[in-house]
Amino acid sequence: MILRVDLSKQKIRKEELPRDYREKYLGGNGYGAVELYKHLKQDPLIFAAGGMDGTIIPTANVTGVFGVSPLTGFLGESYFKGHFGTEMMFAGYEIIYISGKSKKPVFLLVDGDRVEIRDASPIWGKDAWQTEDWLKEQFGKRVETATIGVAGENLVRFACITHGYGRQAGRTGMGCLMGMKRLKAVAILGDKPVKTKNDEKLFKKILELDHLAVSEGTEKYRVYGTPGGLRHLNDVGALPTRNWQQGSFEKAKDITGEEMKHYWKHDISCFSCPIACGKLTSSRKYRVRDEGPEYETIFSLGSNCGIHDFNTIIESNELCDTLGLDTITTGNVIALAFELGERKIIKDRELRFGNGRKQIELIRQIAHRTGLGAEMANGTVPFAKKYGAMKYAMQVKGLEPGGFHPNGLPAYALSIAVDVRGADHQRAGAYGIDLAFCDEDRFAIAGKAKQVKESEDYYTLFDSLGLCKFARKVYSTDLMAELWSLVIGKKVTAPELKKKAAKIYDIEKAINVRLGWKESDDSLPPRVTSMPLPDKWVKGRYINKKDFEIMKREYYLARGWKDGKPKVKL
Amino acid sequence: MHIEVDRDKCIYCKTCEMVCSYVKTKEFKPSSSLIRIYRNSVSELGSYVCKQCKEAECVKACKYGALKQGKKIVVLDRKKCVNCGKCYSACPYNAIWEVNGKAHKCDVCLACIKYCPRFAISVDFNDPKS
Repeated sequence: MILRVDLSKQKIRKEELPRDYREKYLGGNGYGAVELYKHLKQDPLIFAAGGMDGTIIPTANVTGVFGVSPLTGFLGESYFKGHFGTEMMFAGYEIIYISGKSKKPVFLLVDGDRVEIRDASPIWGKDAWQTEDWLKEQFGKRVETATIGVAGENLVRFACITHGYGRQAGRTGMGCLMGMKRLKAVAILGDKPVKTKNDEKLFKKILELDHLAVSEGTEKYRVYGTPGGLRHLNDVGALPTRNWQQGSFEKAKDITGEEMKHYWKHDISCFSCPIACGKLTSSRKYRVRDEGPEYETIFSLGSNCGIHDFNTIIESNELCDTLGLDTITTGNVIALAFELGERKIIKDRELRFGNGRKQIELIRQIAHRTGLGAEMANGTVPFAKKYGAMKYAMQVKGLEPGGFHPNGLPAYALSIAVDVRGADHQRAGAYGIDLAFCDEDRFAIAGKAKQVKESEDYYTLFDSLGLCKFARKVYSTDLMAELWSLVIGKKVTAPELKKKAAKIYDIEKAINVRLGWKESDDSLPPRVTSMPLPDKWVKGRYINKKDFEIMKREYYLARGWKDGKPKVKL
Repeated sequence: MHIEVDRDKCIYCKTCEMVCSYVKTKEFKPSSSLIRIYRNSVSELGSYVCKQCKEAECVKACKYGALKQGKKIVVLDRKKCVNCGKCYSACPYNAIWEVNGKAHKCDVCLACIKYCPRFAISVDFNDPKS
């Protein structure tokens, strides 16, 4: 079922999911892309549950959020795991489509068949966690929510959507889109079964799949969570440090996953996931408890800002979570401000790398749009343009990259340049292609463009089927095809799945073309193309512009795009 | 004896709910599971599951003889249940629910223990109240 909510007219409509949707677009990413492509003019906000969500398949719980990004002006999409997508499925909705704009603050309550738009004045102004507390008080402890914090209300362009206290749809400012619609929260409760065509066979398979999911491939995530890889990335010169000026941090040993164990309290996982990469931590210094920090947060609010005090990182993370800010973008903007301070472009002595107190103050200022935060709240590009410092800004299409330094990773550099939502580590995960080599081949470009394309398609399958990418060493395309065949009761092969993924990616690119994409938008920031890295493994490395152009051509060729534009037929 | 969830080990994955609902009703539907996990704040996890009390409030509340004190657990005869709803409100642990039109509660079948990925669920034999 598709739940269509028009906030302007306060109307709710339920629609059957078109018959071919499931086969053609799988779920999650596919649904979001096709719905957005069809209704781009309405400026909707779309929640789409992954295709396997609500089944017992391990790690199947992804929810995608789609819309036009307030931060980049291009396709906005972000994914969060947890229990929201599965609860959507249990309530009977694959897609929640929200259009229009409410006059006063509202929240959406979905209790199975009962759907209501309710007044949100009691929670407007509260932070994301307080909002979730309030909703749980009102509708029972088992309600699942997606909320925005103060940052979303104040239309900070990179506000995130928070779910389950510690899970965020962070990238591309989907929280801001919710704030623009004056939608404070979506609360959801389901009471229907999720039926697959082969329930019994799936049930018999779980123990085997669970066993696979806790095998060696996911050990890093189980033991240390996402920061488990930080030490290695620092060693190979891929840990962004001091606004991307370096590829390794001299005090990295203070912020590793091993160090985080000292602050560890509890493991938390998402629906039907035995990995439990979520680590609850607490800081005595600031008296806070929080889920995370994840690797991306540790890099962006840690090494990238020159900070090596774990307490400060935990506190910054908790602030971002409660206020509702995307930690990656927030860290990048603050790092840029620190650099501008050190270069004396902004005259403020406190703006320097390693100043934790200032960082915490800036996070509050950004969320409330006060002081310097008012300028920073618009994202890296407007902020850098104001001070004429675009050459120090790390962004592609207005989105700041995740925590891998692209200067020594050519495939990853290509992937962030051509990615549909801007500089992004999660739509292709192409750093894995480069880091698989321990020798000079890492810096080679031959054949990597095609690998990037394949990696993108593979990751699109995760987002569409609703599986978690942290289980990428568990789910091969063949296993995905086998499970998907069981779920829909029709034989699907791995090459067919890959074709479907490529089509979904084409649709997303077509959305960007409609939004005014030019070939010059698929480019790298000056810091990647002209700044040699100083660190030992990657000394003097940067991405040559000529190399990059060759790779880009190869990539377009592999995708079958003419001048980067796809032909799409739904 | 009753099913006990160790809060420190539980990771809130709800696998037990899926398994329980499938074993009991042949459907994947957490809202018909007989063990239910919740998360109330950042670090507060909890569970609703029947404690098989020795002096059970639900047995006292049931006027139709559907709930009886067994040797080790509280036994529910679904055939006698008329879904009057008395036991739902009588249970101090909120552990009896309406499933498919009748009352339903945990009967210690141990399926959840078998499938819990973190071995967080066990049978508590030592609780003096049960």
